[in-house]
Amino acid sequence: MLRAAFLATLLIAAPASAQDRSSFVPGPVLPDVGPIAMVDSDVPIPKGTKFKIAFDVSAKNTPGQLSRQIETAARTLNMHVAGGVPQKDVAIVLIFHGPSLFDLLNAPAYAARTEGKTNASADAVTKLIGQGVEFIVCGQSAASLGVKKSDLLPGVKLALSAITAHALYQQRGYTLNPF
Amino acid sequence: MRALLLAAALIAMPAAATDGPVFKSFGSHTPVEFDVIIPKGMVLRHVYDVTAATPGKRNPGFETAARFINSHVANGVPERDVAVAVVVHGPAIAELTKPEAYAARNNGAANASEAMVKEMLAKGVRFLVCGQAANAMGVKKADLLPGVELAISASSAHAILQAQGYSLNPF
Repeated sequence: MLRAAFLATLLIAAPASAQDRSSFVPGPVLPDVGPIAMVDSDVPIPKGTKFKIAFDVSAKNTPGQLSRQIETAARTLNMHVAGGVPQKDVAIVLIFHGPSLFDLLNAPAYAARTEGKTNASADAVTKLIGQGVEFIVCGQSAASLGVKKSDLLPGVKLALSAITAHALYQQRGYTLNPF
Repeated sequence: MRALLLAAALIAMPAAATDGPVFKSFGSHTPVEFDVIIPKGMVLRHVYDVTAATPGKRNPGFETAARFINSHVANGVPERDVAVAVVVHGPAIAELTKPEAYAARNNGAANASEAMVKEMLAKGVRFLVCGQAANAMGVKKADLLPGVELAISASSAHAILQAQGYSLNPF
């Protein structure tokens, strides 16, 4: 709701700013998360390419805001499917460590750590999990932050550590996104 | 300025910077008595990620890629066996644009990276621009220097290059 209002403001305000996403369109997989720009690409995606992409997420998000990196993952799924890659050939995993993992908390656990705020990323996380995107939490970070398995949104997985998860996924052929 | 700096460096007596052999006026490197052998016949495919713009000076992220080529060719790797790509997202995209597009966005200033980028493109270095960031910045395909490639996104370019055997530079 707030986000829709914000987008509407952007559209009214017109371009000229350094980061202007007013021309971005809803993507085919998750129309309400991660809008995309259509690109006249020079970098061909060979037919049959199977994307397996791992994102590393650690930065603390502003409480009550949609995580920029969760949105990037949604955009990645949207834009590749829009670009003609079958959805089954776009596998995405997000590996969380550090304070970023608060964005994966369920409502009571999130509220308890943010002075009663609502987790603005929860809806996107649930929808992405519904589309097969994996969310993995570093067990070492979770322990040090006092986060229990029962605090996590349904479908979020706990790993021994973020390092373990990265090593496992790279061995399985996942490429690590560098940002 | 740079010559002065180099002269000062020579007087100070650290290891001297060496120019070339592929790029003479940038991407200098220092000789190393190295222990890490590059196996004969190895093809180096390496990709850099660059976001920061550096108005008024050569982009150090781009120049690092040139240094990678110079230093390996200087140490015996055939030039054809060193393939380097630079994935660019964020403000650094402006430094891959044509003079008129750059000037329009920078109060008429010249792009200090342009000559270097052109020379690198001529030697086969690939510059891949994030289409999502370009769009958000209002940079169009026609604004890019000839030979610069537009990708769906930076994530997409990285995934494709890594799947094709490029190693990702971690810094």
